[in-house]
Amino acid sequence: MPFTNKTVLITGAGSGIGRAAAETFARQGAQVAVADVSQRNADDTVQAIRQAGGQATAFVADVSQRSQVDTMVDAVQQTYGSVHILVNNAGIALPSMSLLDVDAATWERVLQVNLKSMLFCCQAVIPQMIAVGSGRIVNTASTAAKIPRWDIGPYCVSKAAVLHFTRCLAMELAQHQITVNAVGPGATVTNLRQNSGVPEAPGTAEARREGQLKGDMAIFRIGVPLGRLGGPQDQANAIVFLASDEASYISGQCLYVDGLQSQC
Amino acid sequence: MAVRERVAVITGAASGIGRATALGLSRQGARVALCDLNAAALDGLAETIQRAGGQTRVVPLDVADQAQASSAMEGVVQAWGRLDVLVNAAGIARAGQTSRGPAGAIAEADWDRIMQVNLLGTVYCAQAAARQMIRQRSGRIVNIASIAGAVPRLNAAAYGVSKAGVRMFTKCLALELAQYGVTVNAVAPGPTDTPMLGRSREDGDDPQLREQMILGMPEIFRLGVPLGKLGTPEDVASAILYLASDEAHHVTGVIFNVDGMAQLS
Repeated sequence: MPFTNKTVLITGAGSGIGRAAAETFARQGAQVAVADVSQRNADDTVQAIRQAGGQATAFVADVSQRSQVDTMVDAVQQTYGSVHILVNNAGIALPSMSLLDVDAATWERVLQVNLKSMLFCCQAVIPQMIAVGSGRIVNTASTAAKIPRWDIGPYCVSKAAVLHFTRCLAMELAQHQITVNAVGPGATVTNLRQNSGVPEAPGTAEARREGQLKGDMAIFRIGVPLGRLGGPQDQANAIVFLASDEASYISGQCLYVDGLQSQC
Repeated sequence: MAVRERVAVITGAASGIGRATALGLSRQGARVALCDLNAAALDGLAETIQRAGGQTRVVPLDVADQAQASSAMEGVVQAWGRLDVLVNAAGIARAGQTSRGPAGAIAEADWDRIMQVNLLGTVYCAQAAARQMIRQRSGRIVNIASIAGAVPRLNAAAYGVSKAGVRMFTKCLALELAQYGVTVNAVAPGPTDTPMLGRSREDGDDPQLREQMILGMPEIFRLGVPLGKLGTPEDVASAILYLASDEAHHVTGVIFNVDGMAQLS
């Protein structure tokens, strides 16, 4: 199988895109380090993988804290050896707010979790990749990195920073044959808001879905031309491709998986 | 749909990226129609595919001729009943004596030929394929753009403009076909080790050329290739195979750079 004997560390792997990626890598032979801030969610993913005959272990960490990241990466290495593939997927949503109103604590928190966690994980893992002479890093960005939204400016800024972090790191690591790429999910059906303790946007679930598909002046002005919301598996498929041997000449890119939303 | 039931058409299949893509799709089990202006050059590839147990047919095609493009796609549908994947890999690096040189001196005929093959050829094949894909309510079109269509290069205005056109055509067609569940994407290769690489330069297949492209040369690829190697046809084909797969059904309108980070943003 394509990922046999490969160790994959995925943050935010307890739910949504991270979980779908973890299960997909495991189906393709990888040993998967399932990292999440929630023990219960991490255990759920690990259980699902093991029941399907795959290999996975849960690692609980708040990746926005460097000491926890370092401890986690040490533990992963003891369990599975060097990390070959790092998927920086952990992230939080924000309640709707104007950039004019955002307070320092909220601003720092969204950048800490969505951006600085990636720096910490990369710093902890990359020496192992350099020692091996290869590696793959895939970061979860967002369509919101490219298109400004009305309602969650700080989140958009954090994801735009993820894109340029991806490019700068790719540039630095090219000499080591380590590729660094991103996926850019558009509207995707996950529990991101719930997991982040953020209330759903106003209106019924059906109305919110319609707004996302058709375009809503209060969110993105642009809907999803393909006419359906993305699923975690769509994003996982892109992550797995970018992490594959076949993608060795692709670096510094963001692959948008958003049904054309970001291209309009 | 199971991959082995899929029908794929690859233009420019005789060499380089088209050939690698045809082999890759065939290995996945797809039936592959091989199109090229130089149909004689397809026989060897068809034999290779058949020996490996793949189904294939050879279709002589000048993509710059709209009627030919149309009947080529219709012929495939008549033979195999459907059309799931079109890969527009036909393209030329130069035409006549003036297409590689200062923009101010490009002759109309040379300019036209580059546009006819690289841009209109892509349009004609996509139009014909889309008619069937709309009927099916499914399909994948993958075009070959180029880093040269996004980053200006000296002495390559016609080629660059044709590939910039391919990029925008890809996005416009993606928007149009989204309602039918048909996706349209492009790959944008950087310097890639294909027969076209030599043809793109006056000095032909100069061994120093590869090294210069990797390090960066002010007169062509200013920036070089940070990953330190030229791309291979297989590198580009891998991205095409992903975009053509069921797994990529939510990906459309994207220009996917496969260039070792030669284009920096």
